[in-house]
Amino acid sequence: MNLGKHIFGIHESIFTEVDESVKNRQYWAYNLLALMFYILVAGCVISGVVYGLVLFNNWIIAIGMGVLLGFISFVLLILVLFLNMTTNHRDLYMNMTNMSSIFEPYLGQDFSNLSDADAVKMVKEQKVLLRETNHTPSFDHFHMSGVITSLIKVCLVLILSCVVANAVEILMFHSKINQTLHLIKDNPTLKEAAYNNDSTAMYPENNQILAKWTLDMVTEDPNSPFLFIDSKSILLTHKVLNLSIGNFKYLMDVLIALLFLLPLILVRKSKEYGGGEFLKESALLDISISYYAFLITQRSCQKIKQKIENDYDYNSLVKSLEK
Amino acid sequence: MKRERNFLNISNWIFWIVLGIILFMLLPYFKNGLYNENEIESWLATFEKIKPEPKPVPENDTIPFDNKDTTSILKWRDFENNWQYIKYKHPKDAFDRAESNRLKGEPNYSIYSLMYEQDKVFLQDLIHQMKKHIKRKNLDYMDAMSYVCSSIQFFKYTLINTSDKPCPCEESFGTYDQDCSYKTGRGCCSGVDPFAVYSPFEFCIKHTGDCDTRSLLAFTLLKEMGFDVAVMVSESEGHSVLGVSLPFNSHYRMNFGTNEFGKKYYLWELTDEDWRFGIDNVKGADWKTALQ
Repeated sequence: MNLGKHIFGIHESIFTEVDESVKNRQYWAYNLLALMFYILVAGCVISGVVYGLVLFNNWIIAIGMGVLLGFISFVLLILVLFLNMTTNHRDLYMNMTNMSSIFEPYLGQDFSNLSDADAVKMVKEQKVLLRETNHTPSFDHFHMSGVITSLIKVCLVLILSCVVANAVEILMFHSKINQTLHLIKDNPTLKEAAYNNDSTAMYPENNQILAKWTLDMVTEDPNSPFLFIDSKSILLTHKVLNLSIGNFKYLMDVLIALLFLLPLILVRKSKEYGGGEFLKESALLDISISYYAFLITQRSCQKIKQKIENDYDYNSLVKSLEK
Repeated sequence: MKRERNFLNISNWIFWIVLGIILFMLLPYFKNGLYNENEIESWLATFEKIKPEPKPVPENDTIPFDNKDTTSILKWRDFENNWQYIKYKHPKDAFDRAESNRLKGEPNYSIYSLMYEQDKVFLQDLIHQMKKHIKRKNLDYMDAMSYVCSSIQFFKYTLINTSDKPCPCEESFGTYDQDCSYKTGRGCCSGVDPFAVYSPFEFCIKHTGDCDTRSLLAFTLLKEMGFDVAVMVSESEGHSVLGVSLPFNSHYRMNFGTNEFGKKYYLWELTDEDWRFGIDNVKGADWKTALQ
């Protein structure tokens, strides 16, 4: 199953000049990356549903929230991955960003008699030349500005991972959390604190406000019964979760952050991607298209120029203006 | 190349192992040991703190609260220009005891705390009657504080000096004569040892005092009513005002001080009748809580 096709555009025609074993390896690497990507997006969708259920106690809104969060994470993750997908073949990278070195030898040449077949032949020759001269990936993309952009990318991914981590932990311990929320609801100390009228204070103190709020959050609204977590508040749910699972929460946060960062690390550091044949062939394809377009437009320009010179008498127009 | 492939293979394994652990943890088993409700119980126990605290009775104070044998009157015009009148009970020798308690103050010990702890007992009936008025009039949080502070601000400023600083005297902020009463607004009282501050109960009887006496009385009355207030002091200004922490989001744009934990207290100048909460007339950037 070619999972990478719809995300990264990996397909057979790109690998026509590549060994079978290399091609298979590339398919495997990109399918793996695509699978990781789909799993992370699925995690985000599930997280959205969990938050939606806690906040709204309504399946339709919860699913809507899941789709929304999934869409946001899909766009963000794909952005982060694609920003790191550049070939490590130095000449190809340079030619892709600035093709003037390829065009330079042809400036001033006569292309008016160039046929389409000749153009294709020239492009193919250039493609073969570039392929042959770019065997080993050796380009280091490091630049100081890259540190800041990398930092932003990592922060984006970590924010997403935190959102998912909290939802996964709620999902993991939801039955225990509900038991605790029932304990809180029935706790006599909390009730006394919330509704104690013997206090000497004329106005409720902060603790009393907190006690009332806590009881309010765990009290079910008859019009909107609890569906998943027996609390109307995500904050209270997190408070219970944090207090109850302690350091295990940090461990889970780190594991889920690792899960989100791994595809990013792979794309940046693994030679299967930056130094791989897929990005090399894609870069060659881009260069050939641009090169072909250059030759065809040069030919058209020269033909139009010749036509103007032959068919229009500009000298007479200039003289008539002088009169 | 082999090494490069290993990096992808290892990362791949890490991803699936981590994912496997997370999915495994989603199963409804094995998690009892990870979940501990004791912390929740500890958190719930913190709510016990809001039970009414027993009123501390100062040392040597053997007079029961309901065994009062004399009354005093506090009469003032509030911020709405209405005259207020409260007749309140207190121990007959409360004034003498407040004075002797003040004289016990020593350096390195909070004189404010010492006077507050004792005088709040003497002022219980006054506080009780003020509370009754606030409830009867259904005053909101800010109006209730204004009502209490107006009873202090009504009495004009009097400079308070220790024995080694005689009256009349000239200060950087004005000239003060020998009249130790609130009538002129330029009065000066000498011999108020050890730190030139009257106790809250003394102010209620003598109706005279300067910045810290006023802040301390306002603190005593409001704190006992349940307001979150503090006595604020500034070393650079050599001044004291009342600090008010608001239990709601504030729209006030005024100077504030903080306690040792950074809690914000808005500053209320009590030395003049016209100054209300919200008027940003307190200068200085080093306001700290002296009593909270």
